[in-house]
Amino acid sequence: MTLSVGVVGAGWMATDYHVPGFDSHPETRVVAFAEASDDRRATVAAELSLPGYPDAAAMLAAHDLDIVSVCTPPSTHEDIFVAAVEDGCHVLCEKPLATDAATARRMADAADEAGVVTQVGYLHRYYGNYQRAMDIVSNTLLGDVVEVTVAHHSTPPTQGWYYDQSVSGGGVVRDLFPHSLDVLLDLFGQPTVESASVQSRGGRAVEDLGRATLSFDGPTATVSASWTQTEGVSRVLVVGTEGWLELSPERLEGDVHGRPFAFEHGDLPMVDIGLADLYPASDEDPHRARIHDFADHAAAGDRATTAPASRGVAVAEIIDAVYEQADAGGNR
Amino acid sequence: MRVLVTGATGFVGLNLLAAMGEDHEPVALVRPGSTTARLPDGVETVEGDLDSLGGALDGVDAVVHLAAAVYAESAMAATNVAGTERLLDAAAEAGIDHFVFLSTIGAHPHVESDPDSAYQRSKVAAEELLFEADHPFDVAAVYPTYILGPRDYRLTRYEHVRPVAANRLLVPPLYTYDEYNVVHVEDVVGTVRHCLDGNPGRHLVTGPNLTTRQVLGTIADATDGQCHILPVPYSVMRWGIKPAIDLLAKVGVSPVGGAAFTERGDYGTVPPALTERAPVAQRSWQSALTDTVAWYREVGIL
Repeated sequence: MTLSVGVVGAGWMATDYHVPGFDSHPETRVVAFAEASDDRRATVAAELSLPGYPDAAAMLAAHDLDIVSVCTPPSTHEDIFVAAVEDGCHVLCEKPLATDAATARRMADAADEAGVVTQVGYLHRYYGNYQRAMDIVSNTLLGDVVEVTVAHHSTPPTQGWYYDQSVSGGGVVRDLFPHSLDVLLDLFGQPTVESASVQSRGGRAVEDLGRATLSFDGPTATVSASWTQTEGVSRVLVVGTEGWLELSPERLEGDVHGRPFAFEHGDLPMVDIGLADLYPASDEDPHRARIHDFADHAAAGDRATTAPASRGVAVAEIIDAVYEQADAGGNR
Repeated sequence: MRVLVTGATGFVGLNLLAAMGEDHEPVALVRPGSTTARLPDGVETVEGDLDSLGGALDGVDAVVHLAAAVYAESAMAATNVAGTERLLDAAAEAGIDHFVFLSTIGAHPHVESDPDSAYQRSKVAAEELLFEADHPFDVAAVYPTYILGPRDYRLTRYEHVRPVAANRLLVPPLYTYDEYNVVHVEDVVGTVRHCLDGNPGRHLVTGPNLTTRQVLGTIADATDGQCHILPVPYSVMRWGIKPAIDLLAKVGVSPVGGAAFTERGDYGTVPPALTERAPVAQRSWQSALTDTVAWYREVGIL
């Protein structure tokens, strides 16, 4: 049986990733979408040959949906998410799940009550290199992990709502930390926030640079993110008692007891003669991978997704604590 | 029977702990600062090392001595010889019944040892401590060739697997001409348990002697089969490629001569009379390789 999908919010995230993601999965098809802007709704309806509705409620009333995919700005997530789960729909919700932890908790409770499958749209773990790194770390190949350093720096977002606290729930910390926190929570459990600072370097209404030090049971993690780059950079360094690894989305390399390993896009080389190596061309598509993974879980009725709404709560709690620490320490 | 295991967090140790049943209750000697995350759930541990055994032998019936400095030459005499001597003394004092020592193939009296290997020299020296002295307990020693299998957390065998998995075409010998004698870590573990059941003396654990082509071909099949192994006979290396590279070096094209192409690597080979020996039913040499590959894949390194 094919599951019917309704997408809420018809921006680039929906049209570039969610719609093709669900339509390329054998068990899901997008049948409708909701979009508040009349112009955008008309354009997308014509492009995709799908019925468009002005809001999620109208779409839910008109269709018997199995899945709702939420691609709207963060402050609108709660109403859409709760209406969808109360209608019995499985929900894939873009990150951040909510603008604060209290809201995220209400959403997770509603999902638990309804017994539906949920996933928050964290992306990093769906890169081949992150999957490798998570396997290597969780299988204790690095020994006991002592230190993790995450640097995730990006270009400034183009849409205005990112800079409106009441819509976004914060700046770059609320926007980019979730991808890394999802992976760290999975590997090391719940941390405490040791210290944090946020700054607005570009004179924006929300912070465009944020740093936090997190204490896990075992390692200490430093996470930093910004919106100040012309070209983005994303790097993770993990150091354990018996080895280390460093990764970007493109390349992963490391060493265990002096024995090196390397991957690109999660793949081994086709040729490696020491002085030179050649990797296979990559058709890696982490957006498709995360949507297909969610669709698999929805089709199977399996609530144990990689990042259910409860993960969204844990992520929001850390981000709330980062802001509190930054304010308390005068680091804003 | 309570069994103190030294080297419990190493390659053979982790496999031994995973295999020990109710008849052999392990106590893992763990060095301070060493990770315990890889030990099986619920395993009893005692902190210490060969320099400071403390009360590690209290209430113990047997000792399996696996701990050794394998790679750090500077530590070999102190750990492998003096450390073994201290452990033997402590075992005598504690009144244990069985002492099992993990040696290496080159230390067996019927196998010629490599005089250049500090590791083998240290294991030969330990041999005297074990068998040329009177001990108030049974002494057994196990002599494996090149051990492969799962739980190689230090990636000591990765160098044989990655080149196959990371190349579509492999032309051995690329730099060295190797011969192997491989055994499955489970058979080493089985032999250790056999010793604990009251079988003292020396026990070989050997497989058949193998060529590079056999070993790399089996690894290629076990990875994704996309690597083609194109072996070059040693004679071609010796009389063709080496002189050619020597000539290139002479006229200044190659920075080095061809001598490296004729180096021969030996991973545990034994005289023909000593192949395929073990006091327990043995797994195939192929399974030693395929289980290694499967484990590397499972932990994300392949």
